[in-house]
Amino acid sequence: MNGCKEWLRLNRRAFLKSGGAAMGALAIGDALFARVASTFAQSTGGTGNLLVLCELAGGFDSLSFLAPHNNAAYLSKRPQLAMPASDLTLIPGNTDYGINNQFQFIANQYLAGNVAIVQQVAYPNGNGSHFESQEIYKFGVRDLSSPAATSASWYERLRKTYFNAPFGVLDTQTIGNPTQYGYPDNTFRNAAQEAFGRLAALKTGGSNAEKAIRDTYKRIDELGADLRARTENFTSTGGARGEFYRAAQLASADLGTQIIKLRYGGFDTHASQADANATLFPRIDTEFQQFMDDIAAMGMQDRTTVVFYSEFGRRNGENGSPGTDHGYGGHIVVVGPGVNGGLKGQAVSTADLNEGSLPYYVDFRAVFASCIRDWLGFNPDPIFKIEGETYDENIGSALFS
Amino acid sequence: MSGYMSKWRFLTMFSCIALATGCGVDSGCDDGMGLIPGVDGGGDGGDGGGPGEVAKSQSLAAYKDDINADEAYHLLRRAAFGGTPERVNEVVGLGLANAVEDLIAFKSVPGSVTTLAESYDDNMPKRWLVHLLEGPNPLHERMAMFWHDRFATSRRVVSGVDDALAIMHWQMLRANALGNYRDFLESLTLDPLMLVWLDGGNSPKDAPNENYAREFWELFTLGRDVLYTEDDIKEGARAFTGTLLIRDNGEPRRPVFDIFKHDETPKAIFPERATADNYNYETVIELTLAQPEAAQYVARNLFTCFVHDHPTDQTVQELADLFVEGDFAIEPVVRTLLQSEAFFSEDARGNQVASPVEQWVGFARTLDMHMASEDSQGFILDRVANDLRDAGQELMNPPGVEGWTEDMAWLEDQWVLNRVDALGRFMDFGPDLDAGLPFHLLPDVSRWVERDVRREMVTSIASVFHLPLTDAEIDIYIEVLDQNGYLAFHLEQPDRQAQHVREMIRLMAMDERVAGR
Repeated sequence: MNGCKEWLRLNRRAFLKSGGAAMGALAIGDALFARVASTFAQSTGGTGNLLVLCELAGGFDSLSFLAPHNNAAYLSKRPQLAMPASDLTLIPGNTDYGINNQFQFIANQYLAGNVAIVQQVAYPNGNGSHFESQEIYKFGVRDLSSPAATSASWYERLRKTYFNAPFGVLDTQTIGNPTQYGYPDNTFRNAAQEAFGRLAALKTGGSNAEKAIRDTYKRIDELGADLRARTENFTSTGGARGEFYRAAQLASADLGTQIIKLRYGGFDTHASQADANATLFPRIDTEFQQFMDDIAAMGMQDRTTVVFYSEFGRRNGENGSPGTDHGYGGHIVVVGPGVNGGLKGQAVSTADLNEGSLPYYVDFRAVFASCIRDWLGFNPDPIFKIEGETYDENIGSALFS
Repeated sequence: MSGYMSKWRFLTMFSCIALATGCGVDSGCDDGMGLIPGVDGGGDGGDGGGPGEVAKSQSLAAYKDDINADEAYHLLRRAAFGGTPERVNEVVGLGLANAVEDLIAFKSVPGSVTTLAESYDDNMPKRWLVHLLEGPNPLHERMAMFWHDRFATSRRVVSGVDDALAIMHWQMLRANALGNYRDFLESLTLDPLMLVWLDGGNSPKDAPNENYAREFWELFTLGRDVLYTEDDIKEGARAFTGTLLIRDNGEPRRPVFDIFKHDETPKAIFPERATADNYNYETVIELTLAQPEAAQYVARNLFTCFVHDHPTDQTVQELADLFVEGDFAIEPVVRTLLQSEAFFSEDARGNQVASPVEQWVGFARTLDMHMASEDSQGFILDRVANDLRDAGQELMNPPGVEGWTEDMAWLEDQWVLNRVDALGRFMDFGPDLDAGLPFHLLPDVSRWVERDVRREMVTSIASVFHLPLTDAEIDIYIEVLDQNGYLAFHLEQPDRQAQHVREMIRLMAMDERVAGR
């Protein structure tokens, strides 16, 4: 099977050559592409920036985040859940929308020009299943029956294509506590953990399968030791210990990581949505603020962009519980000093609100593709245009300045 | 996970052979890859013949009957997940031919096993795990897992809506696992979960859904891009119409064939080989099986599952001929494989990475560990099922239509680490920490105060795994028993000792020769 690795490596090199040439051709007369092309020319390793993916699992209610507080359709469809202007940070120069003050930090970042809100994002033929829709976002393809595309998340594909560092993509959920990453040891003085590494290092020979298993063990042992050592002295600027804290720990480890994935759950607010949001939203906002403070303390603030996304939006009208059921289009929120702030995508109109759910105008892959191309400096085509997949690449305006 | 390695390995193999010329830096030339089919080469460990002679690694001829203990364990690991020392002795005593018959013969499942399994109702990972662990037909379970991975179908599409369909699908896989492939394909095509999963139950004749027709050929019968064309898929989708799911009074949905919903016009399928006809699901299965590529496909995959990943075209054809001669009975093919010289050749030893479920089941079946009555609430099994899911394999919920990406692709860091947790759960059984240890395989507890017992503890478990440890390795395991000298094992309190032994066994079960097979 190792022959296949060789083949992949050759393929990757071949791609980078042709990819660079294609981008060069596009660069003519296009300032944005000119900058990207120059990134490609510098290095095939991209910009080395950090992209943090924060999944809001369950279906984030975009209309509770960016509320069209004056819209009669909104007010009539949500008699109990519509956000009044007094609870919002109004968008400057815009009388239609305001950001929920439960996201006070993000709202302030918006005013500082560091937040792009891409409105009404989804994918064709929306699927109301959490599971399927989350997989579509995870794999970056619409057709989940495509075997090659659904064997790894799109960010894993990105890592394997461009920056094959073992810790190039870190998921706070899989890593768990990085200070304890490695062989799960229940002994005193790490006896089993040490033995695990020593045994793998001691032996040679055997079948290819046996060698591959041992190589995996060695990698786990070496990088585990690295990760534990590099994160054990991490100090945060605040006391919150959620997923964003884990993300800050991982960012501090300096292991060539370009993507950190994290996930907050609880957004499936079918009932008592106002109460749920009153807990959820400020918590995330606070933990996110602490993360940005931690990142700043590490001197990484100019290299970091955070993307908040969810598998779908929620229904425009409230139910009797009162909450909202599964919808379709939703907003993606992109935050960071490199972001070209403002409202992007398609503004929510009365016609959109008169639908059962917000429709979609921007494909989520267009947003992630922009992050890959304009923030990380890689060509997104081999990541999303696979297995016959295509998507509308238009966002409306640039996400990064 | 490596997204580029297909379990239908031979397809990948061909592309690699073409491109990985001269055995690249990684390939080491010792895995038999890159060999021109039909020509014997370096992968055979020197067993292989001159001109006109078939290399042992490709030979389907019967291997010698008096196999030794290591060979018996190899047979049990490949065909039955694993086996206790007693079982290994039994197989040696039976001889190869009788041992294979014994594996193939279906034995009635004890009521206690069925009852325990049924207590999990539609929780399929747990229900199946009980049978995998305690059932008397491990080869049948292994084959059911093989087909589950090939005909990959997930219960998630009916979860909370019609969970009974997942149970029915699982029963269908197990009933056909060593049966007749034609009957199997018919059952599969009409299986309610499959009709939901690949939309066969929602394929109106005026606008047929192509999902099932495509996967039927690509994944179930021919292989990717073998023989069929996009036009065939369109025509085939019309042939598969008429299969509907109906629901009466809250019963699980059931399939019917409704000729009024079936496209009754001629379809041109494989037009270069057959004339257009009014095919339906039965006759399209028949037409497919009449193509030599279908038998080759199954033969190659069964060979790869049990033996190694580089059968020659000639070996595949021999096996395919056997399959066709037996009118697509699966059992004779498996019987031939398990008794073949190829199965016991150097190429077939230690060359696979066991899946998480296979490793866990093999661990338990080797160390003679069982579901304890203390776990009647399913507490431990619940955690095991979660560990195995986190190790990359949740039964009845494959990641997609192609099933799991096998072998080396199991070696994702976190997946590997979660296997360790799953292995440890066994020894969590019981009210005391020590209740779950395989005491009968260890030196007697009365001797655990002796200093020399530590080496014996290590070697006794190693011999159960048929693991030849060097002195250096044994010393490392002794350090685990002694917790790096912190708590000397033989001086430790009896209630602490079990924890030390448990860690030693768990670590040994992760040896590359145990995780590999």
